[in-house]
Order: sequence, then C-alpha cells, then structure tokens
Amino acid sequence: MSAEAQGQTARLTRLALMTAAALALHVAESWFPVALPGVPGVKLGLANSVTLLTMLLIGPRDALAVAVLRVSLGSLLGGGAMGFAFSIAGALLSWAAMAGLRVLFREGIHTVSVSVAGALAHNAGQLAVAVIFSGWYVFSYFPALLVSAVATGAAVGVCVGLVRRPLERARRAQ
Amino acid sequence: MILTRFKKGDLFVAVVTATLLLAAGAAALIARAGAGDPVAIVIVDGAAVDIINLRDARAEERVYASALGTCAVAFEPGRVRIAAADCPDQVCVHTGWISRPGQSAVCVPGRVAVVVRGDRAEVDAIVG
Repeated sequence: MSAEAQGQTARLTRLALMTAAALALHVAESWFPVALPGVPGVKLGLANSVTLLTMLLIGPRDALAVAVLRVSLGSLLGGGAMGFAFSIAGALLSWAAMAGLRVLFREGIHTVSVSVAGALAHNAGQLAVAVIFSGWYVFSYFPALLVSAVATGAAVGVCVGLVRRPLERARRAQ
Repeated sequence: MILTRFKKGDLFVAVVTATLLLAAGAAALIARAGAGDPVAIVIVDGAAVDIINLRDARAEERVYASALGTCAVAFEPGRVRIAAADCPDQVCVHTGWISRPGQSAVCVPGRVAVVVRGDRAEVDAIVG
C-alpha cells in the first residue's frame, strides 16, 4: 500500500471514529433533556465537543464534515426534519464561530473560550430557526440561552482541554 | 493546567460574551419594568387567539388546534402552562408554569405559543 493510500485510510478511520463518537453523544444527549423552569431545550452540547476536538486534533475542514455527518445521522435516528433544522443551524454556526476564532487567534486562545463562543453561536443558530418557525417572541429565551451557553460551553471546553493533550501525545507516539 | 494564562483570544471572547449578557439583561429589565399585570397571550399559527389577564384568571384548561397539532393550555391564577401537546419533542410541556412578563412556552412543531406580557405592552409588537 502506498504512503498516500495509507494516509487516506488513516484519515477515513479517524473521521469515522470521530463521527461515531459524536453520534453516540448526540443520541445519548437527547435522552436527558435538561429541565430548567421556564427555559426549554437546554442541552449540554456534548456532541459539539467532538466537533471542537476534531478541529483541534485534525483541522477545521474535517471538523465540519464530522459535524454535518453527526447531525444528519442523528436526525435519522430521532428528531426528524424539525430536529434536523435546529441541529444543523446550531452545528454550522458553532463550527463557523470556533473555526473563525482558531484562524484569527491560532494558539492565542484557550479551548474553553473557543468552546464558549461555539456554544453561544450554537444557541444563536437555534434561536434563528425558532424565529423562522415561530416568530420574534421566542427572543424572550435569549437571556437564559446566553447564560446556559456560557455555562455549558465552559464545561465542554474544560472536558475537551483535558482530552486533547493525551490524544495528541498518543498520536505522536504512533 | 487549563486556565493557565489569559490570552488575547480569551479577552476577545470574554468582551463579546459580557457585552451580550449586559445587553440581554438590560433588555429583560426594560421589558419587565412598567409592564403592568401579567397577561397570557395564546398564539396559534402566528395569530393571537386569546388574551387572558393572569391576575384574575380562573383555573381552567383550554384546547387549541393549529394547522399542525393541538395543545392543551392550563390557566391558574397568576400562571399558565402548556399541559399537553401532540408534538414529538414535548419541549413546550417541559417548560412548565410561566408567570412573569417576558416568559413564554412555545410548541414550535405545533405552531402554538403562550407568551406572558405586561398588559401595558404592545400586543402587535409581539405577534408581528
């Protein structure tokens, strides 16, 4: 097998692994809706952590592929067309914000900050879809969604930060 | 180990986040101040079909049918909630009781929403 083909196979395997992990988190997360009084649809954003992890370990392009695949497959498993519209808007905006910050600041930004920005963008995307379907009054959720995005984004960022280093070491050791 | 040093990018994200939080907080305060009695507005398919002053609301349940589904809305003195809906995600039902101006319970798939506003706020601004 040529070195190029080997590289292709390695990339395919890594992407498949990341997508599988993201999909598992995506589905598991939908089983545990976070019930906050007066605020619907708050999620931890665990699936988004894989998008961020892929971005840090492999690159933004592959992270986009993982995010889109995860949302598409996740909607087939549950959620339907409406769930897809919400998830894809959130995932794409979140990816754009995180990739943008990585390009802008390179290593001059912490994983936690990237994650918080991703969570904020994710909620903004979902809110935009909700506005399209329901009207402007859903904006009353905005303050609560902001606060929850900061909290969940920071939590996910800490997790990704903890996982990132060992994974990088493991890859260098190969 | 994770929060070792505050970098330029972190400052950027912190400033953007703080600005958003302040703006949202200010908007919420303005919306609440001088809003008057809490009024529940039931919106079906984008149009307000019922407007009920929660202060003198009786305990009752009303069923609303939209083009895409039905929703049972429960009223009580001072509060309101979506008690049941035939949508798959049940996000609106999980929202629970709402009572303060600015809160809402929205069934996005069913196109039914209950919004609480102050009775001095403009209804048209919400529905449009």
